[in-house]
Amino acid sequence: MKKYFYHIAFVLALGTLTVACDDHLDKLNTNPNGPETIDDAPLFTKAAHSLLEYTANTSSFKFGGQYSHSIMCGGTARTADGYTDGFDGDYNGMASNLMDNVIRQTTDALAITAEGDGKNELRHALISVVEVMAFAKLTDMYGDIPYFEGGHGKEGNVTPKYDSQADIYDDMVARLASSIDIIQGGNPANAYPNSDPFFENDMDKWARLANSFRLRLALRMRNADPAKAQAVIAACLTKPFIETIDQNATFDRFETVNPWFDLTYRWPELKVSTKFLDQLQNTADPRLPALVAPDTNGGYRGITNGISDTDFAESDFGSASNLGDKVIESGSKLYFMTAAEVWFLRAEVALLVNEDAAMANTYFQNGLQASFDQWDVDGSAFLAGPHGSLAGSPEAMTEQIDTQIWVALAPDYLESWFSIRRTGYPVIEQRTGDMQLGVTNGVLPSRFLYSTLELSTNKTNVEAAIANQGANKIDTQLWWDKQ
Amino acid sequence: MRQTYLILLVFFFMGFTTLVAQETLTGTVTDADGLPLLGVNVVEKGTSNGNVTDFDGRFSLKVDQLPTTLFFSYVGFKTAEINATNNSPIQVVLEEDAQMIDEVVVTALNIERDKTSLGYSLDVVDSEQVTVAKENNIVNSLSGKVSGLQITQTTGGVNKESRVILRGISSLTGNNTPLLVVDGFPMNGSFSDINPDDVESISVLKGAGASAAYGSRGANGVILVTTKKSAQKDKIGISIASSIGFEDIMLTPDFQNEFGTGAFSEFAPINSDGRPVLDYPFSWSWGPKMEGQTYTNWLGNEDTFTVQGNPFEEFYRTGVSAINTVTLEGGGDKSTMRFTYTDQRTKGIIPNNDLKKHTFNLRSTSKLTDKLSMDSRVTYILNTVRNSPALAENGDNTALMLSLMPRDIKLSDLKANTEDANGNELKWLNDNTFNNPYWTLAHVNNQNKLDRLQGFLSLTYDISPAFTLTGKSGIDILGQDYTYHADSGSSVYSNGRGEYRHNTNETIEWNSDFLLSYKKTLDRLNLGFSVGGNYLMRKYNRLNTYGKNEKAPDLYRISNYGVVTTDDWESKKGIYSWYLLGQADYGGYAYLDATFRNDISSTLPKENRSYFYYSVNGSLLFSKLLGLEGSTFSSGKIRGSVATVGNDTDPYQLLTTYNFDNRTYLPYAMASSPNGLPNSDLKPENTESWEVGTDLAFFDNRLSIGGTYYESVTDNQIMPVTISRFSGYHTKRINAGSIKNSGFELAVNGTVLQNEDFSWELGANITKNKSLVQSLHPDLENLVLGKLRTVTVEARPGSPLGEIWGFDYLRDNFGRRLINDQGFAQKGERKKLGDINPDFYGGITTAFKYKNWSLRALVSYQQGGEFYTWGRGYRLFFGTDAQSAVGRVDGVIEDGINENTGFENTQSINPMLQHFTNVFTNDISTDLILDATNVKMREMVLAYEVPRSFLANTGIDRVTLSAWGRNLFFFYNAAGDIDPESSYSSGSVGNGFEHSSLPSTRTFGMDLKLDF
Repeated sequence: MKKYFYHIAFVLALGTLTVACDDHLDKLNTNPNGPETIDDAPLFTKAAHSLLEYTANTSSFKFGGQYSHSIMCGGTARTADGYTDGFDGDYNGMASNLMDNVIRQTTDALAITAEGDGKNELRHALISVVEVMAFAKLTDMYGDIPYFEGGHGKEGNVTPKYDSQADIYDDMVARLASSIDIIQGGNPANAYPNSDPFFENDMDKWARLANSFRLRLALRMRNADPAKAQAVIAACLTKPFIETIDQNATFDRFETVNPWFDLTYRWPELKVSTKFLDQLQNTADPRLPALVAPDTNGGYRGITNGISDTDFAESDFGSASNLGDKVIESGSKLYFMTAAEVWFLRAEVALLVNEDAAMANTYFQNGLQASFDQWDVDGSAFLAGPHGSLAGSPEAMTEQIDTQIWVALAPDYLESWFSIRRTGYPVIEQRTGDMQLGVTNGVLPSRFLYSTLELSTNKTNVEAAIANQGANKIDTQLWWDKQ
Repeated sequence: MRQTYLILLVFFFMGFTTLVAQETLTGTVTDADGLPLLGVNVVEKGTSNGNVTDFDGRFSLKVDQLPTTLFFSYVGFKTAEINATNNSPIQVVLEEDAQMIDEVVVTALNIERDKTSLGYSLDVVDSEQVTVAKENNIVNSLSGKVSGLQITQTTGGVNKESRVILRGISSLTGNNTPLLVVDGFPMNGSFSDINPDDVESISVLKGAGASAAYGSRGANGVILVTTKKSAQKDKIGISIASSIGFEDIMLTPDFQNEFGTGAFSEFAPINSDGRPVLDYPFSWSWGPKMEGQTYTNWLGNEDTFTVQGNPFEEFYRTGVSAINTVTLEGGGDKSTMRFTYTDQRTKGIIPNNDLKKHTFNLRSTSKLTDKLSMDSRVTYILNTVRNSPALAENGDNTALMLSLMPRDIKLSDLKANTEDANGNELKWLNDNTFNNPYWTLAHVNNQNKLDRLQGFLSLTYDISPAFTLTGKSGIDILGQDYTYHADSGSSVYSNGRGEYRHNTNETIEWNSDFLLSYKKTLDRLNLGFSVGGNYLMRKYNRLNTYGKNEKAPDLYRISNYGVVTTDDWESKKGIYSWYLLGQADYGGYAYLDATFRNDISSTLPKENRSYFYYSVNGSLLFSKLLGLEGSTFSSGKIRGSVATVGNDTDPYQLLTTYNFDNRTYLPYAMASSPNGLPNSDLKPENTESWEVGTDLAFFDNRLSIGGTYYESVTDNQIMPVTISRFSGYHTKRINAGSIKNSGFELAVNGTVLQNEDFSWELGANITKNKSLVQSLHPDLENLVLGKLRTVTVEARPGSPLGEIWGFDYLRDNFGRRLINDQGFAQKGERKKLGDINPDFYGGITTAFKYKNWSLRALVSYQQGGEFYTWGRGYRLFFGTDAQSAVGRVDGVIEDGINENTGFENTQSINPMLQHFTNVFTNDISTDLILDATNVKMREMVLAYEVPRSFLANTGIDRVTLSAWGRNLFFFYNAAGDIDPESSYSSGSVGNGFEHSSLPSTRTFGMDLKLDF
């Protein structure tokens, strides 16, 4: 009998161990390095913070800055100025940055605040505004993108369908509209006290930003869908805008220095573009010393975009004008959206929609004043001079306004490029002769490529988008990009 | 599980059926030299009654009646038959079986087996092959010697890793490296922590059939290292082994020697600061012809414009490595001890790259009582490597810098001018991905200190003649302390402000197991059963600190940096395992083995965490069964094996957790999910494999042939697949895919000549592996396994695993390149450009012995397989590559037809623009895919043993001297000036990419071994 006892004991012991080890193994595989659930505040903060930082991204200095003929880069960053398209890593990275650092968090935060314990209408609205502002940049860079299904990898959608830019714009303006209604008059205690990188939890400023951003989108839609744009503009006009520089959406929580400082002095070394410098010099613009630093001879000298390698080598790049101290030195900021731009947008609306040139002129001057205030310069002489008021045909006045948008947006160069693509001003001539013609035969690029990573991981959907939108080339024009 | 219990019960009942005996026979079994033999089987003829000899060769056996006949059998010895008429002690001397002597091999779970009995392919490399011509990384010593094993060395300084693949890549994105097992304990990580001087033998267990007992981690095969125990019985033995080796450049890229700095055949314009333009392309090597003319060099000084020598040969030094080992060993009746200390000092070819390594090893065996014996080892390794080189696309990669330097730049100028008066780096071009290599040497440094403590204790208790219980526990603690700094002054590092890293981590692996074995002999049938269990615990933790914005120069402490971020992390993993092993052999010619194992892993979801697998191996010595053995046909064996192996994954892959942002200067908290998506429904991976093979010997064993055909299919692979970035994430962990590997291995070894003084042996092996991606996840059309620029190594259903994809030229339907009006070729579609898998590979060995001299040589070869060289691409558009010299004066005309006219292209273009457009702008990679076919002189050793007569009265027993060389030269290299073994990654598909590698090196040296 004794031997049976041992056998049975052994088998029982085995069985007991097997059960006991289940609990032990569960415990072992519980990740101690981070929580499985979280409040939406740090997610919102990450998204908002990242969106603000994005204005100094590669998309801005390497592409937007050179495409908008605002700056010239040294080093290999100059290759983008040549209108070529061998930037697969950048094309992937520029989209990935916004998806990873903004959309991933807003998607989670929207779900948390939509229902259950975390339900919070006001927070939901703020998150929506941040998300729309990020998606707007994405679609204006690439065209069709996965908007409705984008960012939902966690729920299992790893091959999101692309949406047409028209559908994206329709939804973006609608989401902004409903968000503005909630944010206006919202109780800040229910929003994000101590964790709002934009406005320190000021709901009035949030409503102004959301409405101003909606106006920007409405104007981009204007040629592609005039009726819709008209309706959105009308709705915008019933809500407050960013009007003073203290309402500007800015950012200055830098780790060390303003990123534009390092981009200018360390790498890739930025110089002011001749076109940008000419605009300021030819109009005796008081912002010149703020936006442009003197060259090594004490004067001002820009570098011309698109010049050949040989001309570039002979340009004595190192001694040309850097970005101005007020743009890059201590105390400087990044600008996400400013009163100046919004006044100019409103001037354009007054001129083209309301056909009220006087109102347009007032708004135009408000915009100039807001920009002068922003850079802390005295603009009274300029305002009194020939460039301080709108004049001439509506088209001439439009050119004045849109050129000032271009100047006022600096250094948010990605938006400068978008603005030039929308308005056609300032005119970027097709390059000829020994200029760098790139893959566009010298025509200003109008989008970024879908990257090879996207083409290989989401092939069916991205191919459908290409079929809808046009070839995956940098000179394919987007839906709203119609003059 | 139920079946397992049943088998357990059956086997327990069998153990208690021992008979009662009346007479006790005792005796001792020794070999011809009088040394006792442990574990000799003693069986009473015609019964199942038997026992084994103990540590001193003694046995006792109770028998029913006298007289009787006893059989004494022992692996490697001829079986003896002794008649016992009375119970006086029996002295048995077993004769070595010459035919069998080399056939004892160490198999899974450290069980010594007769090779004949194995149903799977197993190769053994003996200690001599690794202790002479030592490699810092022991696995490199196996290159070309073992069929089925593909070793690709990388170029990575003194502590470079190698890519090791057994029978092809089976795991798409996971680890494909075979498991390293030392004295029965799996060892984490690097093969370079094995001290060659401590190695007794290395067994390479290739298929799952051989390695199933190791569980999931054995799925890629197992490399089993057995370390030496003391061989001394009666005195203290001392031996000293010294080795000195030199490393120098074997192969560098070919450079053009005609054109220096500049662009479009012109010098760079001079800037207002008096220095030439240092921007691209004028900082490239596309300037005028160098004819000794006067020009302004990069420093702004007047100089003569002449070609400089090969920068690699001038910059890199001859590396030196000295390895000294002292061994003390001894033992008595009850215990043995062997202690070694090895000191290794290596200076690499990079002027500041060195390694210091101390290895202490103590192995002891002890017989505590008649029934209880102990085996233990403690190893401590302290390894410090300074300045491991940066590889590939990195401003610290000196090889990249040197290979792109215009051909007139003098290294002496770079060396004498590393920084300006303000402490800023001086270099010949201002791109921030570049450094002056001498600035790098002086200002970018790293140190990696590894502390490794390994130990095991194994107790074996002979419960009864039939039962043995072994319990053992082994721990491996690996601590790493890594520091790195880059001084301020170079825009490459934190915008010129300097940076510092201090990372520490610790990995602990603890294995405890038991094995209860039972032996039974029934007439001509020997049976063995074992039941065992293992608990594996692995812990990892790390603390990484990063600082930037240096406050004071030359102080490398975290407090000296203005912005600091830290992050810490830990993980744990546990696996419980149960296993059953069974062996049977009948008549010394038929063998059957089976292993059943069940793992329960913490890393899988509860419902899927327990998984069962098995292996069954059979072997038949048909020559013996059929009585065919003679002097022409010595022996013949057929064997076969079937196995499945399961596999788990890494910890914490089931649920997402959030990470907080580690920036400390922000007033608010930020958090996000990681880039990789987990999966709560993971299932274990499964590999099913089978193999058949034969081992034949002819002419008194002078010719042996071994061949194996194998197939393995890995399903349900757990892998992070790259997903669309528009999903919000980078990867998702899924179960997917089915990869089939099939192939054959063939080894032929022969003694061509043999007489008293002279012998000549010749051997060859060949491996042909074919991998096939049978399926992927339904959502995946392809899977990117590796990427360099736009070139990828991919898995695509229906294709071999490891196709190289990239952009081709734009072509018409006839394959002609379409050239635009400006004369440039254009980017076409992405397509398959190559395949990293060789068609076949192997090695040829030859060994001569004449009296006390021996010479052996090993040639390794690979046929087929391709790799992508971005290093060549870079050198092409920087104008330093020999191939870039073409068309400098008259321009080049691209082959192809004009895309608009259809006529042959006649438009001439500047070769700089040609290469820049094709290689950089358009990433056309067709011409950068090179054939990896090569035949390499892998190893040559000339050894001399001083005749013993010379040593009489010196107190020295033995003196061996050898001279050796490794990786000496190519007999043939299809890639010309690029070594196919110069990848920067030892990852699964690392051999597919070359990027500005350090020069390939050869090593040669001398060994001296003294035994006292």
